Amino acid sequence: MFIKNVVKFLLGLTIFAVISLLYALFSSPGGFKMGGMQTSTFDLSKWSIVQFSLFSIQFGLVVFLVILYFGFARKSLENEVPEETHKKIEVFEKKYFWIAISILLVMLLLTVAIPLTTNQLAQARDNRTRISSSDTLIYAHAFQFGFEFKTNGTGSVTNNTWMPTLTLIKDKLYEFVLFTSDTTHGFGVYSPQNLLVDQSQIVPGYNTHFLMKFTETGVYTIRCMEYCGAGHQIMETTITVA
Amino acid sequence: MEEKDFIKEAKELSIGYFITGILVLGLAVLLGFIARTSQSGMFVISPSMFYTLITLHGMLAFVGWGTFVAMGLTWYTLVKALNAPLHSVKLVRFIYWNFMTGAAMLIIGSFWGGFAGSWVFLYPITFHGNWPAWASFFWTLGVILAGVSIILYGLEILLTIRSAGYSLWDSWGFESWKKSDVNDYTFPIAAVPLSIIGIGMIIATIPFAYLLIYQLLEILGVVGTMDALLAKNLLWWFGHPVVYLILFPVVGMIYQMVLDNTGRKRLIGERLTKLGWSIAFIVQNIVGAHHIYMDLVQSAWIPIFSQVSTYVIVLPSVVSLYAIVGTILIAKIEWNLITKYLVTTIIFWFLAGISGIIQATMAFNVFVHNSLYIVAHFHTMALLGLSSMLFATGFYIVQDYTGVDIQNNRWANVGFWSIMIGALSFTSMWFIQGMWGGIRRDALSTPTNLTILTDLSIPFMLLTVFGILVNVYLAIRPFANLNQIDVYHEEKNPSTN
Ligand code: HEM
Ligand SMILES: [Cu+2]
Ligand SMILES: [Cu+2]
Repeated sequence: MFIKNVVKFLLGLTIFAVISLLYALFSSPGGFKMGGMQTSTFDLSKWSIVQFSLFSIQFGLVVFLVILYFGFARKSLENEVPEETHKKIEVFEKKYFWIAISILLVMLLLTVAIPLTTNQLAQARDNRTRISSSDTLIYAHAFQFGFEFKTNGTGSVTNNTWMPTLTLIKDKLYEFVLFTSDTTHGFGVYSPQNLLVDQSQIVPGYNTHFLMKFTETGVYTIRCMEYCGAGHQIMETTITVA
Repeated sequence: MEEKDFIKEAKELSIGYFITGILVLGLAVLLGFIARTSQSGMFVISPSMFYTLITLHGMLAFVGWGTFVAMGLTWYTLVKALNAPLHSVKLVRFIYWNFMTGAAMLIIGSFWGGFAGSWVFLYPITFHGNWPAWASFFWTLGVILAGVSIILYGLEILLTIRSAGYSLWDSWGFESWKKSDVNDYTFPIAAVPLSIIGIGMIIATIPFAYLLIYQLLEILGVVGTMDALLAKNLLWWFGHPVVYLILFPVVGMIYQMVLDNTGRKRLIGERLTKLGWSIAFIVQNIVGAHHIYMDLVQSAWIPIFSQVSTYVIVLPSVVSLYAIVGTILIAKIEWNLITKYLVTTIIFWFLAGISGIIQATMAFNVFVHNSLYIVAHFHTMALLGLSSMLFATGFYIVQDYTGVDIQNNRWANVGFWSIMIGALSFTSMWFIQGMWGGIRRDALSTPTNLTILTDLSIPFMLLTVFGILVNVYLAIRPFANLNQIDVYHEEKNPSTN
């Protein structure tokens, strides 16, 4: 009975969903159009060590598992292991239960150490205590859809009005005070090579203190890292580092 | 052997959820595909439309397919493992229809009203979009209904376990603390993850429901704004455990299927596994803050605590993988479509777990947060990993119930390999784009230096969508002729009619 009702209902659900999709596509203000593909460059030499290590771990594992899948798992699935092995395994299990537990515990203790060593946390803790001298303090206002800055005479900037971009000095530690006047945004810092090097969220109602040292000269791009509405994709600006 | 009536009933319920969910998946992946083609510039839609599509895609694929079907297949798995009837079949039906009402509201809110807050609709985005308030209202109410269904789901599991005469503490794995001999364990291992997610979802959903109801009242103008940081914490307090609402039932299904297929009563390493689950019981609801490491305004102890507890919750996964692989390796198992999906789940669960640990580590998270790396991670987990097991169990029950042979249908392998090749390829491209800093939820594939991968992923996404549609067909076709199913049942079991 339940299944019969469900099957009837599914027919209705499908029709309803498809009509809704078509309605949405045809009624949306921009409509839709067919276009060409985009072109782009793909330059491995710009990858940093982080990207490379992530990449190798990830794809090394894929290869490993594919080999496992075809070479090993399938065969052993089809072979039966004799009954006495089952018995042996049971004895083994009992004996090594506590060893397994201790290994897990040690791993656990090690994990506690890891977060304590990251930059992020150092920065997070700094937040509360640190207020830069006024010449390295920068207010960054995020809004739908853009950024603007205000400084107290840093770099080549001399006045106090809101500016769409900044020029800053290499290897100097800046303190950004990030805030938003509407919804949540992000503050993603992209190096001149277009790699994401640091980021923070900007939560409404809070000032986020974000420390940043620009270690290369060139043009950094600041991009919004949290979906914030219909113009999220155009929300970016630049910081020139001299 | 004659099948018990309550098992047949649970099977019917599970099938109802499964065929509904798989249809929803078919729709959802089409939306994802359209969104990606727009990013590549092939088929361009407006940014608002793009965001509407990924909002609904995320919600329908994750909740309408993943969560909903994991819930649905729980009924069969639970009843089979406990060998006892459900507490209330009426409630299980109510959960279904209530959920479906919610789904219809989500479709109205997004397709008709243009709601595009993303599937997490991070507060207060709902109030800063270019869609009308009624769209937000429908969306929020739709999610509330889904939430109600989820709470009732948890309740039904716990009630079923109690009415079958088991202790809840035993069901959460605490047997392993008391008894050292596995032969003394009474609670069936396959129901352990189900019981844990049952209690977990009740605990996780209630604070989130508060946020949703608050938001609904704010839409109606009854209350003022809420603290955005508090809202974010409430969201992720629920947001991580809800992923377990797919994972844990799937693990239960794996245990059950492995035991059924190998003819064993217990898993290898069952004590360790139960111990792992009892730890999961304790920490499952305190890991959500690993989604908000980049909120530098929060006190430092929150991310530290969250990173450690995230590592801890990896333990049940590790011991489960050990137990499952160990059990499979020492027993003989037939190699067919169902076991192929089973093995696939195990492999991608492990693989996605690795990227999960990477991004749960703050030092890495800063480079990948809100990048396409995250998107790659959860598609590896949800599509290649967990969905495979949902297909496996779903097909298995449908086959069993209707007598229609799915696993030897010549399309079955086409579906399997299309999804595997397609999804492994397009998620790899997302991984690479994400490592570079490619931003997720971005109508334009930003930064533009890797858009070649966006273009390249299109044919693979098409292949995956095709494979999924094949599976939709395989799952639903047996129900084209309902009379035939009745005839099959009469033939199989003439006495009961
Ligand atoms: C053929 C299969 C699929 C395709 C082609 C596909 C495609 C996409 C695309 C293009 C996005 C947007 C990514 C971005 O942020 O730029 C996305 C997001 C997402 N997908 Fe999928 N997807 C598929 C399957 C699935 C499945 C099976 C699930 C869950 C069980 C899922 C869950 C999600 C979620 C939760 C999001 C995030 C939505 C958001 O950012 O608000 N997808 N998918
Ligand atoms: Cu944004
Ligand atoms: Cu999480």
